[in-house]
Amino acid sequence: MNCIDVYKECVDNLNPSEELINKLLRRTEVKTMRFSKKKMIVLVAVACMLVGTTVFAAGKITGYRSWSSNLTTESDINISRDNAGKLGISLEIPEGFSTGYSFNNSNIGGTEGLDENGKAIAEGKSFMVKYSKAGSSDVYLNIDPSFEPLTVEDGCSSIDVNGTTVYIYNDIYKFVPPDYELTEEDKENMEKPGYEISYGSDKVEVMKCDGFIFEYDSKIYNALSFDSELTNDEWCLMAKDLLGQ
Amino acid sequence: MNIAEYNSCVEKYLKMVYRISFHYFGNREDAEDVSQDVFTKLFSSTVKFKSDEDVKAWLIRVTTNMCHSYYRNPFRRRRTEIDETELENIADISSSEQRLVDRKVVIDAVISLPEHYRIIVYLFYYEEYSIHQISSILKIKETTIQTRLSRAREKLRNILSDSFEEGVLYELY
Repeated sequence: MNCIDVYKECVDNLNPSEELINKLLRRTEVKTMRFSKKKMIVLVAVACMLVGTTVFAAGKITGYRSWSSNLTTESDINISRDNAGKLGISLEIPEGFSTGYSFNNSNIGGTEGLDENGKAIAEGKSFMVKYSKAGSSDVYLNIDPSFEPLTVEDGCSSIDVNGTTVYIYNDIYKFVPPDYELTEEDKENMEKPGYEISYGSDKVEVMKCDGFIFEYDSKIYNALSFDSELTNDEWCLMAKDLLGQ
Repeated sequence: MNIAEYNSCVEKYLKMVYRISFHYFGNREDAEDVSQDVFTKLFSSTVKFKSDEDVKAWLIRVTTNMCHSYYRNPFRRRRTEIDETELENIADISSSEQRLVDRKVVIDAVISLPEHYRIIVYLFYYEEYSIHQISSILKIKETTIQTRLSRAREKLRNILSDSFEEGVLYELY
């Protein structure tokens, strides 16, 4: 055996720990949630890490699956802005909003547009920003690629900010496990505007979800909060902050 | 890159990224820190890869660049020789004591080379890339690669000649 063979043997036995392998693979755990046929758009935040879903479009894409990694968490606003710029996000990531919310951190993830069979037919990078305010629910700003024109449910209120239509929504979300069977009450509720069932959580939980959504420069900007006390006027104010007005 | 592609890259190339990083630092902690950062970069990258070889080349380049930056970080762990615990990993159960000693001598010799020689030794001897391919991956001139490889061989011959007979070193000539 020559010394190069000995060297190769050494290298063969140099391996990363199982812990690292699992950590790197775990980052892409996906929360797949049900996608609705309703023509409206909502994104859902889950637990400590934001995993969005559920864009309801009229075209071939019937739902969205989003994922992110808390290993990409960045708490520096300047680095976050750089990251956003690299993803082609043209609006500046605000350091705070006039409602008192301040930048907390950002994450990078991905979004897939799914067809009716759940097959990914479009994909792109997503950017998620978390804003916090003492004593209040966090606000999540999700910025996703726009695969199709934004369509929203009838009756959703809207404002115009410098030519951009911003939709304000007030929904109820019922999070349920992936194998959850719908009750008759669920089926009735689903006929109501602004009521959604999202599959993929560990337990059944009903939450109020408010926020705004708009399309700007080929990106969908969606800010939302669960069980927050923000009023629709305050959501409008935050949308204006984001759009730089 | 979608989730499945990313996971596939971790499965295919994490070992390689870790091994390159290990060649720079000689310890698991730094090598794993860099490996994690490299895959975080891949995860958040918007680069469109044309092929598997393209991804592999990108990972080699990014890993060497990151190692280079880390290597100059005064807070990183300083290495003098291979960690004893790592040595246990290098030896498999069936290794004889002499084989274990040989491995320690060889890997220590490679890691004692100047940092810009180590990656070339790894890519040439372990990954079995040609000089031309290494030049293309690292974006360094072929003549420079050739010179570094020759000097690395010469240094290895000098270091290893005390421990091995000349016949064992023939691949270094």
